[in-house]
Amino acid sequence: MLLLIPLWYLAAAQATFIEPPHAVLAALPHFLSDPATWSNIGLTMARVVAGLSLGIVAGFVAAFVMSRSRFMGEVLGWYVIAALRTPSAIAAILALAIFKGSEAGYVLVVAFITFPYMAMGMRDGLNSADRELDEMSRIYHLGLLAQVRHVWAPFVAPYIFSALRNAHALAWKVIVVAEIFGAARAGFGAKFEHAWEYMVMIEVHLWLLVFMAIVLIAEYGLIRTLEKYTFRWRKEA
Amino acid sequence: MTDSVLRVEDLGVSYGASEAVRKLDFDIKRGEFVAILGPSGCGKSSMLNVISGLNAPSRGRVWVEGAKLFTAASKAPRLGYVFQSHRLLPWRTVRQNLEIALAASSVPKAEWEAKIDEILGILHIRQFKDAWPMRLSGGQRQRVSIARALVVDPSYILMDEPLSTLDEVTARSLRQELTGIVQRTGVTVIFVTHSIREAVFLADRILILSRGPARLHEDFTVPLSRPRNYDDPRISEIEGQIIAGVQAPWGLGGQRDVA
Repeated sequence: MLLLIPLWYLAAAQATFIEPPHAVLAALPHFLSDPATWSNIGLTMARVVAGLSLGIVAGFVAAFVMSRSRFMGEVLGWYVIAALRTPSAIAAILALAIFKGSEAGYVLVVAFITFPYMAMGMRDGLNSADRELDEMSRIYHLGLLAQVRHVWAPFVAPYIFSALRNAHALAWKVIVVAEIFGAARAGFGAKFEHAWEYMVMIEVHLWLLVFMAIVLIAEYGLIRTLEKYTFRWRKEA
Repeated sequence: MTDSVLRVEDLGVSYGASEAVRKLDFDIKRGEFVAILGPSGCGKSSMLNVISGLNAPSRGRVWVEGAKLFTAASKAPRLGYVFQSHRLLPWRTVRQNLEIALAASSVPKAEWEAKIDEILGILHIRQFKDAWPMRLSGGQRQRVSIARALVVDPSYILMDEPLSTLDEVTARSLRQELTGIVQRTGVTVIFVTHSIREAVFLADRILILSRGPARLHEDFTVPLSRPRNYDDPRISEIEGQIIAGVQAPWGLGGQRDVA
């Protein structure tokens, strides 16, 4: 990260709309102490969490159905691929047009964009599950819950984490696009767009820094920690 | 009837027009060690799937401890299964692998610790209780697999070529130990193997199946007392008799049939 600072200085010297790092850092304490900053971040975060959760649940259901029935696998497969190939900006515009900029629109656009990643990831995980262990669990009469917990989940987990990483990164990108296109009054995208429109470049930089910080904290602080905990047996074994 | 742990009557398994098992009848008594011998592809797996409660037969009846299987009211049999590969959950320790089987068999949690200690002790692997399966050798993993089968107090244990993937030295030692374990616990064992010598060494009876569709070619009682020695010349002698007897029914081009 520190290696980027000289490049940042270099870019600031070349382009008028890029502020130098020291100017941005000087404004950071005031920016972070403003309660409005946190309420906007909180609102966007809530939209991401709600949309991503919905996307994960929808993805899980779709993957489970696809792996259990060949017919449903074919049918749902088309929808999943169509959703996967839909550009996020188009999805954002459509969802916001349908839901007229309501909260549901923001949540649904995140869910729509993230669910195919979860569905494909989990379906691949379920398809790769060890049939021998599956048979063992049936012979020993493990109930469905025990089977999911002890046999399927550990197999699917690497696929879920990989899909979750992609879906999570995409969720943040798409929510910003949706907030900008949806002319949201509050939220990260709305504030970023406002700052950009009025060319308050320090604020644009600050919002970008906050955005990167949140994505990195979620990735390294949350997802990777959870991943390490889930796969601790690999290290110990 | 009460002495019978598993009774199979007129068993048939078909997949469409293809017949895997035909009119199979046998009875296994409590505490017996029965080996099942048959050529590759003769329908042993189809038969095992039925007697393990996984698949219903196309025809015939199966009783476990007097209770008929595959009826609307019947419960799946409580059995132990030792597979060709260990099939342990790599993300669970030895203890946890056994606990999962105990929980599935509705054994009260208060009894788990004592049962696990006892079984691991019998198999000489108590020191690996908290080890991960990947840390164990092939032989140790298979011991854990046997422990998992024993710990649930099964009606019978199905062993499907459990020693075939081990090196001969380990297999030999485990074979020897297996006879001791069976004697100590009194468990009923159904042991599927391709090795005639192994069957003669381990079993009280050998059910010899014909080439597919599997039928009972011969119910052979091993005329040897215990303890047995794997290198005993009488084992080689009986092995020779059985080999000669299965030439024709297994389609090996021999001349005579032991039946």
